[in-house]
Amino acid sequence: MKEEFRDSVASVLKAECDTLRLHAYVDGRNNLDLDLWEHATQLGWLGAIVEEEFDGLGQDFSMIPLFHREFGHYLAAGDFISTHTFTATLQAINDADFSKQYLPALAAGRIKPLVPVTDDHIALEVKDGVLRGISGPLLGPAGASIGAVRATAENGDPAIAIVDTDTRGCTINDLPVLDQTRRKLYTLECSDLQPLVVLQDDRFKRADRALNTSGRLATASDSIGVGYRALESTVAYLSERQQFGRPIASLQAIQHRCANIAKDLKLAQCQLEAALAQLLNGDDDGNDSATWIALAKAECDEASTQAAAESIQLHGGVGFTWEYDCHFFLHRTRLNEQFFGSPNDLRGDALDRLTSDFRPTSQ
Amino acid sequence: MILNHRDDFSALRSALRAWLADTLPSDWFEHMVGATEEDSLQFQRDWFSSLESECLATAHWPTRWGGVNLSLSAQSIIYEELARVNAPMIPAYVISLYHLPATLAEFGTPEQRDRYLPAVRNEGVIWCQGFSEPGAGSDLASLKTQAVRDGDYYVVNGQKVWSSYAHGAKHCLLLVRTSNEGSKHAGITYLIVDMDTPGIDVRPIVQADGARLDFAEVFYEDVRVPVENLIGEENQGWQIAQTTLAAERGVIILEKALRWRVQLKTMLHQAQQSNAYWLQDAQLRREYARLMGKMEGVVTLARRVISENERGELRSMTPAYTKILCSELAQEIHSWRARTAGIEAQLVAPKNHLVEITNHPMSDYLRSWALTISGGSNEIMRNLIAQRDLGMPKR
Repeated sequence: MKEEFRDSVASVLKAECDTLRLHAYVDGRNNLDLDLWEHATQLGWLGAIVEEEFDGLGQDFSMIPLFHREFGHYLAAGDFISTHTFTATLQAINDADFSKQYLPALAAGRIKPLVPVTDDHIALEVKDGVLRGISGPLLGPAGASIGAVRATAENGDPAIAIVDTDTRGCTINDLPVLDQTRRKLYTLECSDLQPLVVLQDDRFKRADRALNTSGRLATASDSIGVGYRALESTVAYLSERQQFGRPIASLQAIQHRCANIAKDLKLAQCQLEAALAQLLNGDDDGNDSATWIALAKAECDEASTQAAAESIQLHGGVGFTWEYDCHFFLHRTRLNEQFFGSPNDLRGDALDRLTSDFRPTSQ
Repeated sequence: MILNHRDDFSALRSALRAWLADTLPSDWFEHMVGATEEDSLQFQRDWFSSLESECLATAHWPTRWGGVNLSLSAQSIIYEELARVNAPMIPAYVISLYHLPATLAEFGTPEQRDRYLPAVRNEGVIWCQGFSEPGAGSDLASLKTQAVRDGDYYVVNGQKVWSSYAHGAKHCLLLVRTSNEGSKHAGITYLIVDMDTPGIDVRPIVQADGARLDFAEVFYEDVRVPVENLIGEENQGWQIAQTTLAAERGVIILEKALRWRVQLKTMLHQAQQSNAYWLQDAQLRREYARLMGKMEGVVTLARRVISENERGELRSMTPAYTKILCSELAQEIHSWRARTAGIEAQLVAPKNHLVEITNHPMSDYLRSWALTISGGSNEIMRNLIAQRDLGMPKR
């Protein structure tokens, strides 16, 4: 089932999201993001982790890496991370009415969600039950109609609010980004916006954990996909490019740089697999696996950024041109690094968690 | 028998813990700090024999090696429990436990298997390996130590280097040249040599960290080796050597990785207990978390090497990746420790060589080059990955 799913995603993306179409999208000559959304909708991809009773495929979180690694590999235009992340967040709230109302629509791609990619919550406040201020950066496809935003609750605690963006008092602002495969993030400007729900305390913790877990798994996998694509493109180029009467791929200095990229990607990917296994076979409520997922996400992003950076250098002059894909790789992985926690933040948090259960008398 | 619990992991853990608490002397670590070479070797012999009384040292031996064919999960539990109490390693037995059975199982005669494998288990016989030469390191196939047939004997002349524990070994797995015809790979033969044969001279080489045990050079002058000590066919040695070397890349790495993983957690708790200064340093905290995260990936990879071996995926590139990543991570860990341990780590102090992470970070750091250089240097692994996995051309 899972392999079939991955192969189906890969074959569709290979056909629909080749490098020529991607460049045309970046240059504003097609609507590749909408086309891909249409395919994802028709093929049921967006409902991968939605329960079967809500018209999804009913799969566990192991589908997220399969899916997003392919999306990263093909530098898929638009955003698909937010749907899986938003779905996981709703599932964590476990509210029967919400589930019934939104999960089938999410699975069918009828509604497009926004999710917060940073912890920013200061500039958006909950006052007298309504939202005032401006959210941090949000990730999602163009034309979103629902969103999760981080806000400060009336008691000063961090909260997550779910909002219908078509409600009065809600404006979606564009936040253009350098990564042209994603084009933009968004912010929500709220003036006395009535949210669907404000999640605090225990519900906030559950939602926050689900959002981070799914978001980090998806982003890390996207990065790994980009990283391996960068490596493959680079090796292919080096094998064609002749200097000194031989393909430069035969030079040991070049080979070792490629081997270094490959081994760093391998380690990052194995870390992600180990973390996913801990999540799926977890013995606790997910606290522990969250640490390893965070660390794996940091490693995947950094290894892939390094692969992308090396692809520019190893391509030489053409790697530094708009026409070649190398800058797409680097833009995409650098943006990924900032989603759901930067490597520095994640590693700092991880050590906090690892030392938090310390009992001085323990052996 | 502890291994009667092999299918019930929590019972296996409890049995191992109880056995270790009873068997491992509580003062063993202090006892081995600054121990002489002879004491260290004797201690390893004794600890091996204790482990073997419960089949724990050879538990990983598949049935075809004469072992109990323990599952990977159960084997991991043994390693984890040994690591938890920082039990002594037995580096003198690496060749006896891994290289020898792998080689004999596939290419040895029934007589060789019956003679040598039970002797390891019952008598704790130590083996060494004679592969590298001063002129044949990464380019092992260019080895020159010569064996000439003389009746029922081979007469061996030449020099081997980096033969760990050669002075404590009873036998050696030796690669020799028997032909200069054809390719250099085609003239290599694999012999078993008794180390007490006249004409063998073992000279220890002092390592960069001051240790004398791990290294030796071995000189062979007109050493007469009976023809029955031939493994496989004459001139088939290169192929057999690949099997021997593959044994290095399985459980040996997993045991080390599991020990490092447990030690990283232990060291973190110790740092908290002693309120170590680095816990106040945000950058050092992040670095430590990163090492712990990477270790999870390395353990996963090391397990994969073994499961691929068991499935017979012999052309997999996983061992090459694992070799680089595991050795580099170990070096990073020791580098981090040496860097954060302050000037204390630069002071002369006796150490215990029989654990992966000793009381002496700088010395461990130096010794970590053994990992990045031996068993196929990391540069050779990079060549393999580039050419075989990424398909980059040789010329």
